Formats: sequence, C-alpha cells, structure tokens
Amino acid sequence: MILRKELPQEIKRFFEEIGVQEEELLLTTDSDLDLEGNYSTQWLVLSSTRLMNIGLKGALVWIVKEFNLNELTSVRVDRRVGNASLEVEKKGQFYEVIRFSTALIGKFEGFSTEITAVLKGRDLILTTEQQGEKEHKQKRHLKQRLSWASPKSTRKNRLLPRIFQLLKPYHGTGVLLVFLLLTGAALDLASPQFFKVLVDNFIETVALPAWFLAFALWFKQNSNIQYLLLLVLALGLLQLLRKIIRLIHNGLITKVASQIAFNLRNRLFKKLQELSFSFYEHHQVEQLMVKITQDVEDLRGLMLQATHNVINILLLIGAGILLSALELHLAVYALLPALFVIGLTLVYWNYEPPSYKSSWHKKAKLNEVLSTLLSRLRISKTFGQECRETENFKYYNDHPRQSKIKMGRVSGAFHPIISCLFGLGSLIVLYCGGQNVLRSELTLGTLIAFFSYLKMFYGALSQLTNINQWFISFTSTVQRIFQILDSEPKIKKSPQAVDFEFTGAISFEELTFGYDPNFPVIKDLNLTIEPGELVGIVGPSGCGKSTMISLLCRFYDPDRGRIMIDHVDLREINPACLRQQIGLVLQEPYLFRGSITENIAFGRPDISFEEIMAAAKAAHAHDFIINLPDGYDTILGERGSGLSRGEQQRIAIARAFLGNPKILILEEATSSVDPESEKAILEALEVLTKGRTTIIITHRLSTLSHADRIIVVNDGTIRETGSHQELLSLNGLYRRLLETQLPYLRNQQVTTSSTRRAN
Amino acid sequence: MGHGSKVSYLQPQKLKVWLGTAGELCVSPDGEKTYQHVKIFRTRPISAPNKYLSFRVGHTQTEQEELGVLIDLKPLPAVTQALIENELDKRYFIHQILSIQSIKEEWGVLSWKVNTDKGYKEFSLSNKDQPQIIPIKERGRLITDANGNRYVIPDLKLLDSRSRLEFLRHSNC
Repeated sequence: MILRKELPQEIKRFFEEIGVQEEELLLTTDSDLDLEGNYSTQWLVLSSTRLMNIGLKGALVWIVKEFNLNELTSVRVDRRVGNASLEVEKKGQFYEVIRFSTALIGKFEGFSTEITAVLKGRDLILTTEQQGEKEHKQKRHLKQRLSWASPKSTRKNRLLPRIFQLLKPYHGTGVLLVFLLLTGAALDLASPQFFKVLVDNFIETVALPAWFLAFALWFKQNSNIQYLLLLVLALGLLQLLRKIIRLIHNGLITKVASQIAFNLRNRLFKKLQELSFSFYEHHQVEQLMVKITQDVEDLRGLMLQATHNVINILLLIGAGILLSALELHLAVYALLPALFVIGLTLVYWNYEPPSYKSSWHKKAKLNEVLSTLLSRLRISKTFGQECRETENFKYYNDHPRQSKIKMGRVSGAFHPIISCLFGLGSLIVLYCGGQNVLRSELTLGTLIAFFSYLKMFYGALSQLTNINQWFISFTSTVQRIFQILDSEPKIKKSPQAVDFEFTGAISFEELTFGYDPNFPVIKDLNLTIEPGELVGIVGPSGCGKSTMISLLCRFYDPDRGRIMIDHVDLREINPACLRQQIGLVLQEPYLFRGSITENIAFGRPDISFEEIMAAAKAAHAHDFIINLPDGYDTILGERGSGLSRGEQQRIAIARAFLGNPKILILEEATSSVDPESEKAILEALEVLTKGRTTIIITHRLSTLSHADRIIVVNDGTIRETGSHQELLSLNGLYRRLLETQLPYLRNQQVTTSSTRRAN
Repeated sequence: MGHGSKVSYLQPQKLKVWLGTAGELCVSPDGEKTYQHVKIFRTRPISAPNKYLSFRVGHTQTEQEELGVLIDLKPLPAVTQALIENELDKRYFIHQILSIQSIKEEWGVLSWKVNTDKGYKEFSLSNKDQPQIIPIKERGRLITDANGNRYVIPDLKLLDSRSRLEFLRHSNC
C-alpha cells in the first residue's frame, strides 16, 4: 500500500490539531529527500481538497507546502539526474511540491496519475492493493533485469531431472548404451585374467585354475597346446568384442547426442521466435547466437564425454576391486599416490572453475565486439579509424588468450604432477611386487595382471580428475540453454483469445506505458479512431509516436489502461489474428535474402502469382521489377541490397498490400527516400489506404495532406487534434513543427509544380 | 491499357502478333488498337520462363507502358508462339551449358571452361557471397558470371558424369 501508507503518529496528531479528518485523506506517501536535497522524510498527502507536503523531524511536524486542489490545473513529475520532483501547475506556473530520489520515481508517477484523476473529477484509477502489487512487480522486474536467469534454470539440483527429460525420448537406446558400457567394462577387466593364466601356467608352469579348466572342458580341449591356442583365441575374441562394442556404442551415442543437439537448436530458435521484444532489449543477439550454435555443439561434445566418464568410473571401481582381490598388500601401496592425487584434484577443482566460466564470457564478448566492429566498418573507414578499431579488437582478443593461458598454466602444472605420483605408485608396486615374486610369495602372472589393473585404475583416475571441469562445463552450458528455454514471453495469448474480422475501430483508453515502468513514455493517453479513418500522428522525436504503434501491434502490453479494437481489448484478441489484420510499413523495409516473389509473399505461401503481381502493381513496384533481368525471380541480398531504398520500400508496401489488412500503419515510410521515390510511394499508398483504418506516423508533414485528422503528440500525451487547417489556427506545436519544415515544403512544391508543367 | 493500379491480362484468343516492316514486333491486344516496337519481358525468367509475359511499349522504364500480361504461351497459335519466343531469345541472351571442361578455384575466383549451345566459353565468378548460382526447379541451375552473362544448366542429370562431378565439387548450390 505505497500510495496509502500508514501515517506516523506525530503526523496523525498534527492533523487532529489542525482539524484534518483522517477519512478525507485519499493518498499518503513518503519521500526520501527534502526540498533542499538532504536525506529526510517528508510526506505527500492528498486530501479531497488539498495537496500537502508535511515535514517530519523527530516529534516536530510542519507543513512544507500546501495547495488547494481547486487552484491546480495539472501535475507532473520533473525528472532530473538522480532525483526528481513532483510539480503542480497553478495559474500557468509550476511549483515544486516534493522532492525524491530516482528510486521513488515510479511511486510518484503513480501519485501524479492519481492526482490528475482527482483533478479531472474521476475516481482513483488504481486501488491501493494494485499499487502494492505493482511495487512488487517492479521489484521483480528490476531483479529480473539485473539477473535475467530464471530461478528454475539456475538451481543445479533441478538440472539433472531436466537433463533426463531431454534424454527421455531415447530411453530404449539409453538402456542399450548402459548394457554396452557394462559389457565393455567387463571385457576390459577380463583380459588381464587371461594374461595371468598365460604367464603363470605356460611360462611359470603353475597348475591351471579351475575356471580355465572348466572353460577348456566346455570346448573339449585337453592338451597344453590346445589350452594355449584356446587362450590366445579367447584373448583375440575379447579384443574383437571390445572393438565391436566400442563401435556400436560410439555410433549410438553420436547419433543420440547429435539428435538432442538438433532438437535443442530447434527448440531454442522456436523459443526465440515466441519471446517478446522486451527480451531482446535485455539480451545481446551475438550472445544468443553463441548459445544456439556454440553452446549446443559444446553440449553435444560434453554428452559424448559423459559416457567416457561413466566408463572410467566403472573401470575405477572394477579395477580397484580386482587389485584388492589379487594382492591386498600391494593394492594399499598403489592407493597411497591415488590419495595424494585425490587431494590435489580437490585443490585444483577449487582453483579452476572461475577460469572456465570467465573464459566463456570472454569468448562471448569477443564475438559481440567483432560483430559491432564489422557492422561499423563503413563508418570506421570513412573516418580513417581502422588502426583504432584494430587496437580495439586486439584488446578484446587478448582476453580469451589470457584466460586460456591462465587455465593452461594451472592444468599444465597439475597433470605432470599427477603423472609423477602415478609413476611413483607404479615404482613402489614394482619394487614390493618384485620382492614378493622373488620370494615366491606372488606369481609373475599375478604381478603382470596387477600392473594391467593398476594401469586401468590410474588411467581412469587420471581421466576423472577432469570430471569437475566437465561437470562445470556441462552444467553451465545446460544452464545457459535452459535460461532461454525457460524465459517466458511477456506477451501471452489469453486462453479466451478471440479471432474475428476487424472493422478497424481503434481506441486507446487511459494508456500508460514505459519500457522501464519508472519512466512512462505514454502517459494517460486517450484516442479514438473510427473505421476507415486516416489519422496522422506527428510530434517531436521521442514523444511516444512509435511506442503507440508498438502497443497497438501488441509488441508490448500497457502498464495501465487498454487498447481496444472494435471494442475488444487487445489482450483478448488472438495475436495471430491481430497481426494478420494489421499491415505495417516501416522506415526500414526489412527485406530478406530471397526472391522478390518470396519477399512480397512473406508469410503467405499459399498466395497465387497473380495476387503477388497485383500487389506489386498497386504498390507501383511492378514496372521496375519487370525491368530487372530476373524480374520477380530476382534474388535480393541481405536487407534488400541490390535495390534502391525507394524500390525496397515499394516492395514492403506490396507486402502490406497483399495481406489486405484492415488496419494499416505507416511509420516514416517515406523518410529516407528521394522526392521522386516519395512521390511514387505516396501514389502507392493512396491506393493502399483506401477503405482501411490508416495511421501514418511521420516527421514529414507533407505526407499528411490527405489525412482526415492529425494528432499532435508530445511527451507521451496528445497535445493537439484536428485537421491541418484547424491545427494551424491553434498556433501551437503543429504550427511550430510545420514552420520548421517550410523551406523543405516550398522546395518540394517547386519540384512538384515543375513536374506538372513538364507533364 | 496497363496503366493504373491493376494488372490487365491479355486474352490469347484476341491477341495478334506480327512483324512490322522494319522487323519490329507489332501487337494488337484486342484486335483493334495496334502497337509497334513492342517489347516482351519475362516476369519470372527463372521459375516460369514462358508464363506471365509482360507486353510493353516505350523505350526506358519511365516511358514504358504495359499493354498487358499474357499468362501462358501455350494457347497461342504456333506461329505466334515462335514470334514471341524469338523476341524473348533476343531479350534474354542465355547460354545453355552442354558440358563442363573444368572449373578451377584460385583466390576465391572460380574460372569455368564450358561448352555451350553457342560454342566454347570461359568465364569467372568473382565473389562467392553473391547469389550467382541460382537453382531452377529441382535440378536446373542459372549461373551469372562476373560480367553479367547468363548460363543455364537445365538439368544437372543431363550433364555427363564428369561435368556433373566438376560442378558439384565447386558449387554448394
């Protein structure tokens, strides 16, 4: 309840003394600065008759400022750097009422809207509960902006089930993979046993073990030569089986990992298509590209690595058990260096993770910088700044290098140390085991088998020292991917969303919106547009014209108020239905690499060529298209390169025309073209706007000559409305805007009349 | 005729085409009014070369007037078709590649040596980023060289295997 905050007892007593009843108080809230800019609490109180700033210091209470509501005409928030003031207009003069820091701007903007409502004799727009909710939302919004990670995707304990969910469609293959892993490990562990028999029983002539005799009996073999042959064949078979299993395993895991990567890339792209514009305001495109391409590819590699880790764990356990079973005494010696390695690994893990994460960010930053530098190549050449740009790139290019060197230094020192320790372990085993063999306490075959298992054990342990790096890479990669997949589009389709054919009636009702809720761009705006009306919206740059259109296309939802089409709230209309019936022609034509036919028919693959040609003809594009060597088959470069801006714009108009929209929005459609192209575009637009509700946003007032009504917007509110003549007679902002363009208009008139004479 | 914001279509049964005394193409769209020095443009030279033909008079683009668009050549009498095709061949000078002797890549430039229906020809494609090799239907390709000359391979399968391999080795399209 930030706008009806509980007043301190001192102020309540003060009000009782001066005869202000608590019941007549409408809104009460506190600021954090006094009018001189010192940190202090002052209270803004709106009663049914008065607006007061109440000072409070200890028990001392006094009226800082006081205004009678019937003397006030408007209220505004004057924003400055780091602080702002609420001001009221009295007899044409603005007076500062209360001052506050930037953090409270949103609250006092709300307060200002409420006072405006009271001044206009309306009820308060927001309930106190809603204000409380809004404050909560704003805090959440801020939190999201500072850390855009969705809580769902950042909790590591939630990652595992979600990773399993990714693997779910492949559970059959998964079972087979586990079977192959276990069999492979078992085969690896079996080989040394055969070697042991080979050495002990055929070189050392120790009696054959019972398991081998049973095995030989099964094959009906009973001479030593046959035994030897059987042993060699068994060893060969083991190796062959191992290779076959590895082959099948690698094939399967590569297929599954590639399929998962393919699905993930598709899911990520689909999600990026669904997300609202606001998502892209907080995310850099280059980083998103890295996520879709590099991260998914990394994940594929990491999944392959995961199976190696499982094999290593199985070998570690199996070899550990067999080492102990063969010779417990030696196994203890062998384990000593392993303990050191485990200790060292733990130290290494603590040191290493941040390097990996920062390495990723530095790589992503390098991509971002590279994209920026390449995109401004033209301007850097124009200003002869190539050297500076090269230095810029060098600076950022150095970051991943440093990061890699740092990581390499640590891992470069770590791995030789553990190799030494393992070498030491082997030497100890050789010395102690050799003594045992010499004393005939141990057979040579057992010692050889022991060494084979020791090699497996140390090898697996050595590989697993990197498991932490794998784990961190894996979890952070998965997190980054899930962060996008978990992002919720702010513009959601209502479950009750309706589809219907528009007649084209539009109304903006008490609309307030800001890209940052603390800074509304549109303020309490009301506007009604009749079906088929052609309305021009003009105003200085940054006045909120384009934002109105973004809201009408529902790229954003308003913070307060609503937009209605045919008396249906925009939020209740199916977004697909809405966008199908709104045609947008922007300053930037947004053509893509593809044929002209594809560019015109964008989003309408079912359209016939006759319709495409008709749209191009209506947009005055047909003639220039025909004269291109490849006509409608001409492949355009990125952003329509190969055509002039005017030609590009006419193709964009043809595209809008083809959609047969009920509402047409033209945003600075002729701003960046020459007068000749503008003339052609205006002729095209004249055909296009017939029978449609049309909103033209422009700086060039000359394009509004045939508008039914012109709306002048400034600072997010409508300042003037009327026809060209009516607005001129008002002698206000419109006239001033027109006067600044007069020299240009005169030039154009001269051009037009001379063209007419020539005709 | 074709002025304004709507496309007008020529009726094949009313369309008359003949050659004038100077060899120019003359057209009467409706059997009444006659136009001389008529130019015929393909609206879709790659995807449908003999459909949607735009009949126009006037020299430059700004002077041009569209008499109408002929949807298809087929319903016209053979003589008329031949006249129109002849006019189209003049406007669209395209070599048909019969076989490829060699394609060599050096410094990103592809040097082609080919046999065409118009004889042996050497040409280069300068920049790989430009859409210089465009698919026509499933197996056809249109190639535009560094000088803007056009070469067509109507069907890759119709090339001999050596030529086809040479093409596929150097083209990702």
